[in-house]
Amino acid sequence: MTRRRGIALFLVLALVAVFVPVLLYLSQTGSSQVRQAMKFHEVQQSESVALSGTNSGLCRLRGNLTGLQQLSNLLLGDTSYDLTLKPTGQGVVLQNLYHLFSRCALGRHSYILMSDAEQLQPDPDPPVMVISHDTWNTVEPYDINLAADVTAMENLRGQDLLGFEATKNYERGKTPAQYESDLLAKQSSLPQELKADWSSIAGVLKEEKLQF
Amino acid sequence: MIRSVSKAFILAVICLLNWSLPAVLAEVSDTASDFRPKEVSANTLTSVAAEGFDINNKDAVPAGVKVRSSLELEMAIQEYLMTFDAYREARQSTDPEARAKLPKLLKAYREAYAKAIKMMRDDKLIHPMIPQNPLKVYKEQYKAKHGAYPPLDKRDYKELRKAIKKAIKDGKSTDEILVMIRNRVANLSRPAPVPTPVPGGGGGSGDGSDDGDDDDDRTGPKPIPQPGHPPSGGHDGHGGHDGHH
Repeated sequence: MTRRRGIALFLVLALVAVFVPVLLYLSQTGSSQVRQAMKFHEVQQSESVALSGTNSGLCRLRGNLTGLQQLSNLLLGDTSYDLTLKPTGQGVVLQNLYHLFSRCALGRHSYILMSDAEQLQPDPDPPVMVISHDTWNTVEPYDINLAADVTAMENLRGQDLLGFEATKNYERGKTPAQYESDLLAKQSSLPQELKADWSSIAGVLKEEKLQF
Repeated sequence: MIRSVSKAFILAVICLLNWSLPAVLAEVSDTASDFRPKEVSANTLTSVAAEGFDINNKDAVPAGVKVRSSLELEMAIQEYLMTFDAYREARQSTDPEARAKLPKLLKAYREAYAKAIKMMRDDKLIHPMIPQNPLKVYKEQYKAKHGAYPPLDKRDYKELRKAIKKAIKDGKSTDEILVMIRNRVANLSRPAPVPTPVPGGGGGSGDGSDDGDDDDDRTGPKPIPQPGHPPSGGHDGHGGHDGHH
C-alpha cells in the first residue's frame, strides 16, 4: 500500500515537474508570436511616419524655409520623428539644393529616408516649386543629426546611385528592339506569377525607355 | 511503468521543442544593434578617384571639369523644370483629358531630367557620391577660364519662370515653350566682360576650405558687375539670397 502511494506521489510530482515548465514554455511561445506581430506593426508605423516626415520636409521647403534645419521630436499623432534639411549648394539656375533626412524609430526598429530636393526661387511668393528626384532608405540606426553619420549615408546612397547610373547608361545605349529582347530573355528566370504577363510588361518598359 | 511514462514525457518534450523552437529563436536573435556601416567599397573608391573626384575632400573641384556655355546648361535645366511644371499641372487637374496625358508628361520629364543630369555628369559638375553644388564648381572653373564669373542673374530667372508659367496656363505646346525659353535665355546670356584668361589663374578652386553649403555665395567673392546690370541688392547675379528671404 505504502509502495503504491509512493509511486502515485512520484507520478504526481513528475507530472508537475514536467508540465509546469512546459506550460511556461508554451505561454512564452504564444507571447513570442504576439511580440512578432507587434514588431511588424512597429516596422509599418515607423516607415509610414518617416515617409510623412519626408513630405513635411518638402512642404517646409515649399513654404520657402531655407538653410540648415535640424528638427527633433516632431510629432505625428503620438509618434515622434526627426527631420534634417541639409543644404548642399546651388544649381545652375540658382535653385537651392538640399538633402532631406527623415528618421522614425519605434521599439528596436529604426527607419531613415533620405531624399534630394531642388528648391526654386519664389515666383513671386511661396509656395515655391520644389522637385524631389529620388528617395533612398536604410534601417541601420544612424543619427541624422551627426555629420559623420550623414556623410556615411550620403556615401552609401552614392554607391547605390552609381549602380543606378550604370543601369541608365545600359538602357540609353540599347535600341528599343534590343532592350525589349533583353527583357524578354529574362522571362525564364522570373517568378511564375510574372511570366504570363511579362511580354506586355516588357512592351510598356520599351515604350518608357530613355531615348536620347 | 515509470520508465515508460518518463520516455513518453521526454518524447513529448522533444516534439514540442521541434515545433516551437524556431519562433523563440527568431525572437532571441532579434536583438538591438548599433552597427552602422561606414565603409565605402574599394571598387567604388577606385572608380571615384579615376573620375577625378576626391571622396575624402568633397569640396575639392574635380580634375577635368568642362566649362560649356551656360546657355546649354540653362536650357537643359529649364526644360526639365518646364516638363515638371506641365506634369504637376496635369496631376492636379480634374479634367480627365488632361489627366490622360500624365504618362506622356511623366516620360517627358524623366527624359529631360536624365538629359540635364547626364550633361552635368559628363562635365564633372556633379557626382552621385558628392553632395551637389554644381554652381560653385561651374563658377570657379568659368572664372579660371574666362577671368570673370558667368553671367547668371537671379532676376532674369524669375522673369523666365513667370513667362513659362504663363505659357503653360495659356495652353501653349511644349515645342512653342521651348522656343520661347531658347530665345529668352539667348537674350539673357551675355558674354563675360573680361574674356582674357587670368595669368596663372587657378580660380581659387579646390582649396578644401569650403563647407559645401549654400552659405558660400553670401560671403563668396563679389562678382564683376555686368554691363547694364548695376550691382544692387537682390540682383547680384551669383546666388545671393537676399531676394527671397
